[in-house]
Amino acid sequence: MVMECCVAARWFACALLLVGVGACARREARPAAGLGVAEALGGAGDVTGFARATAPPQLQFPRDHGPHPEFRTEWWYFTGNVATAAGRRFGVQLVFFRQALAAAVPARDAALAARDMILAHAAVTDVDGRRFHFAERLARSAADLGGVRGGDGRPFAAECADWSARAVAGSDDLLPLELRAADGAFAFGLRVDPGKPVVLQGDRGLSQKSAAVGNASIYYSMTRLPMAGTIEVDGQTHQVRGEAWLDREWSTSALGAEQVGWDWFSLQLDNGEELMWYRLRRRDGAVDPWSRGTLVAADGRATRLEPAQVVAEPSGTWTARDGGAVYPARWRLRGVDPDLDLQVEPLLADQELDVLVRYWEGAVTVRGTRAGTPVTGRGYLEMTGYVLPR
Amino acid sequence: MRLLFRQGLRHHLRHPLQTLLTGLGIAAGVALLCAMRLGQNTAERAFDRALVAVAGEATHVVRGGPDGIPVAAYAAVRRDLGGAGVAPTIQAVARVPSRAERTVLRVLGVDPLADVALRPWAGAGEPDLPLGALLTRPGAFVATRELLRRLGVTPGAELAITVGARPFAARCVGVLSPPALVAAGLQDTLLVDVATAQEWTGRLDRVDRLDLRLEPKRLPRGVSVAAAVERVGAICGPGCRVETAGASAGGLASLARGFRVNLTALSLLSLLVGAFLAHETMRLSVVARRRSFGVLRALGAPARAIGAVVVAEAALLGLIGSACGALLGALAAQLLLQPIVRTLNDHYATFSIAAVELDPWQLLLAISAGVGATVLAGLGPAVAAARVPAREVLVAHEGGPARAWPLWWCVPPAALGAVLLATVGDRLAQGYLGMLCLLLAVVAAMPAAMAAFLAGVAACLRRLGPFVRYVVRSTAAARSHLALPLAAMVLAVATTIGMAMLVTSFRASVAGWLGTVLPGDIYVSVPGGVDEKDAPIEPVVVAALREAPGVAGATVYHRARFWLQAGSGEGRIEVVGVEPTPAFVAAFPLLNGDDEGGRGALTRGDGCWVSEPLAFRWGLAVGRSLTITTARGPQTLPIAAIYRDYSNERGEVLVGSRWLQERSRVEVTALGLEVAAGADVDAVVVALAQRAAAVGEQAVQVRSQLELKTTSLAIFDRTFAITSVMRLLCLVVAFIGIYAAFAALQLERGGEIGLLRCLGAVPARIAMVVIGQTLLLGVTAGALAVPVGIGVGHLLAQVVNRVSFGWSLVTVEIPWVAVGEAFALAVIAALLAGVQPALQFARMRPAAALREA
Repeated sequence: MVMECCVAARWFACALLLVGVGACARREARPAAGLGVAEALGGAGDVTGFARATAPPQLQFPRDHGPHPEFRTEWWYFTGNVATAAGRRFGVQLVFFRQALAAAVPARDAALAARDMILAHAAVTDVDGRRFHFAERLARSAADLGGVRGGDGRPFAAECADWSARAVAGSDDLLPLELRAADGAFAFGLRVDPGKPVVLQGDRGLSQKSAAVGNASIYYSMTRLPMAGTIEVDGQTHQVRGEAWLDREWSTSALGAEQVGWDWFSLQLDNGEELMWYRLRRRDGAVDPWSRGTLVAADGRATRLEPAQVVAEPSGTWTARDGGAVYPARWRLRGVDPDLDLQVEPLLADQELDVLVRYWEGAVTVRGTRAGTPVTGRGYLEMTGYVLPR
Repeated sequence: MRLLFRQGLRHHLRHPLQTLLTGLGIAAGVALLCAMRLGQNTAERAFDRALVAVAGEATHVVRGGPDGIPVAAYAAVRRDLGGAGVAPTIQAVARVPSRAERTVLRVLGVDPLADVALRPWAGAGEPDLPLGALLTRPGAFVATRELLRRLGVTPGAELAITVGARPFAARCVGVLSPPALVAAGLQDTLLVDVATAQEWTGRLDRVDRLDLRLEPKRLPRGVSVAAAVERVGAICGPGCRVETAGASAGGLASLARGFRVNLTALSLLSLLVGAFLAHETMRLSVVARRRSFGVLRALGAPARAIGAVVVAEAALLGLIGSACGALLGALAAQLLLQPIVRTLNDHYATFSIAAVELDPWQLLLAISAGVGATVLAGLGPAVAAARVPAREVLVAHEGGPARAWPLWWCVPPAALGAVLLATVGDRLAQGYLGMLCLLLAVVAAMPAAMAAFLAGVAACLRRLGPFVRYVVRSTAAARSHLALPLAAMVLAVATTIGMAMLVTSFRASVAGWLGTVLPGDIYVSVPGGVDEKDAPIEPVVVAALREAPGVAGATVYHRARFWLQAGSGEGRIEVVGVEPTPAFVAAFPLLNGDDEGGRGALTRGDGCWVSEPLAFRWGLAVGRSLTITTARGPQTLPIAAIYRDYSNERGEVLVGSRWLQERSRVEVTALGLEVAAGADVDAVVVALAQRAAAVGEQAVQVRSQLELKTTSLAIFDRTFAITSVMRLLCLVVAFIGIYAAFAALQLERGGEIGLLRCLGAVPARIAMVVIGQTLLLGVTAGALAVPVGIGVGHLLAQVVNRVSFGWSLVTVEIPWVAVGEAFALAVIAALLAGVQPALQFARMRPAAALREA
């Protein structure tokens, strides 16, 4: 069975708030939530003491699967579309953010003293059950409460309270690994195996997000990874299988002051290709020229895409239950070179994560043509910056 | 009806002094009640709000023993129950040395990343919380705008504080803006990251407690709340306990139950005296208006209407008096607040409060009590007024109803009181009720007692001539009228005697006890309040002081709180581990178990000593056993002795320090040092203080036994200063009451005086008769008050005191000076009360006086 996987959410949590979109993110976040995180995450503030992404990196694996504490923000972003043997479909998301709270801290005696915080989001889209479950965890990187290790000879592990993504015993690489998360009505334990190779996004891994030097991230993806295990929703356990997408990204600053949000597509087409496209939006509603994407061929070869090549058009709206945010309901992606025309539809309208930083991230289905041939697919869509000011 | 009202009003306007005095009496009672309730309630609410603020949305609380909860256990609980809120706290007391002694701050160490579900205002989602600075800058704190203003600190500024006598630089990194209700509970709190709290308290690898929000929908599937509690207990280990948040909170009111009930009882007593006063005034006004009532009845006014008018008058009087009283009380509360907070700080918990909260409910309650008491007091006179027969106007005045109630009336209240007191247990309110019954019995016996006393006086003064005999006999003849005011006076005076007796006896007991419980010459501890008693002394300081020249021996104390179970009780109680020296063992004030076995138990480590308050509250006796939950699980020890203790009404337990150290990580919290023979104690104190300062940063307190004793007694006096204020106020109320009652009585007797004038008595003689009678009444009241007061003193010392605090007194002493003062007060009040009527009667024309008859 084909699973498509999609993109990752990342920036959202990140940029939005995490990395600090400054005033605009602040305005968009709910008054009682998120801003503390924004502040903690540095806001638009001080980047002194942190490394900046200014040139294409020399990435080495498994070293660079591990954390990069010299940068302020970093994430390990897993999304996937899976299904049971009987065809019951689920979307899955598990992401770990590492956020430095200060560039440098004095040596401290307290066991709970920490420099980094770990933020994690997990979600399950129960397509047939028409329900979307999500939860959040926060912990300081101290005393086994949370943290990310690996790349330094130790097996990879990202942990936040009771959730984890851990390399399977005996593996000194990132994959295979196991994702574990549970909260109230949902739980999952999924193994992710090696699949398609690493794709360096942007310019050999340097993904420029706005004009200023250093407003960029180091960004690589693994666009199609076999994933299998169990998902439990509402007391029922399902054996599932499908495909995941991993996004890895780290940075100290990224968005510019005029950028207010983005729409991020990670689509796995059934012709073996994957498409990643992010559309950055400006304050005046225009598409930002720093929007970018990548088309990954079936053999793993990657082609960079620019705004002249791909247009993403929203249509319709979906309003959050509490009326606090209005998101586009569906999308159409069009391009001449590459030749594509794809309709992107959420599997469930409501896949909004109403957590400290509020955003929409959910499983989508794809239908359309690619080089004149009908094509279908699965994926993930992330939409940020749609929270209404109060 | 309106006519009746107007007539009543006219009567009160024509006798402004009486009316004013009555109003004053009620006002004073209500003011006292109001001030006490407001002061106390402000303190309790501030404290409880802090508890609620700190507890947040927690459903359960995990507390460790003195070891706290290891950080690893905190992490393990979060990993096990990730979805449930699991947040650690560390609490401590901080002082600001640069400011007045009263600047006591509470430190609340939290984990903002775990507090999102428990204390959202301190959680990562709070927009204004400077999360990065709080977590990564050592010493960073936030506080409410109000507290920052009081401290004169702005964000970015440093504040020098001490925690456990160790100096730290705290740095304000922002303003805490919680919801108003929570903010009210954080008026004296520095909010810090838990890591900073770890560094300030030296609890580097542990936290004090975990707050849990265990709700079924947040727990892993298939895990019930009860199962989660069990899992948490298993993770945290045998030294920890999981309690529901409600059970854990307690609150100041339950801590300071005895203090609270006693203050309330004293205020109610003053109100009672006020009510007596109101009764007298109303009665007098009814007597003065008998004729009018008779006329009205003859004209067809229903008896019920007349009664209702009198009750309404009482209500109006009560309302005006109570409203004035409430106003006065609100002012007085501000004055009483600091003494109350100070006392609570000395004995129960450390916190500070800036201003009284004018809780409308408390004001309303006090006013209602005042009006209620006045109306009740007016009921008797109202019934009397309603019963005035219509023929009153037609026939000659027969005099007021002379109701000398029989002596046996005192039997039922006396019996009830005796039963209540005999079965008092630990119910303080019942103790007071029993005492009230006995006092009612005293009131009931008053006519008989008065008759007996006056007969005695008459026998003694028989030879002094007809004038004196007249004075005595006329007074005795009026005893049915006089009994009630006299009883009021006796009660008021007796109460002041009883309270003085309690305080004197208590102080003497404490002074004697201090000598036996502090056998060393020098005492070293960490300065601070009741919450800081378990602050550890740094090991380097302990070592340096033990080895110091001039020190011949040392007793080491380890004080820490453990979960204890024994007899009928369980709770978190202070356990003190001591390395008992022979001198300590020999001198310690044991009440039970004072034999070889009992005294040697701590040294041998095969038993514990339990303080008298704990033994009283939990029903413990020598030979029973007690379970201490230590880091090695529950440990059971037999109770080898019960000792006298006046320092801790919650109770405490002494164990051998080796026994304790084997079972728990405890630190040295105090040192008792013996000075080498021939050394000068004061010189050694100075040398030790210097030595302590030289080896460590911690500013420990080194005091000679004498200084410690003086300080302890000063705290005692401070505690009872508030009762002296109360006693004084009671005296004022009593004075006003006596004055009003006697003045009223004399006015009532105008006819008799007129007769004397007609019989040829000159004005001077008349004045002397009146003065003589009131003097005699004063002497009678004073004389009867002395035995009653001593009885009240015994009840206060031996029943109320024991039930309130759990301790018994070594000696019960009669404070003769206070007795003399009280007697003098009665006589002087009576004399003063006689002056106005004496002048009035002396000036009265005989014919007018006769018409009064």
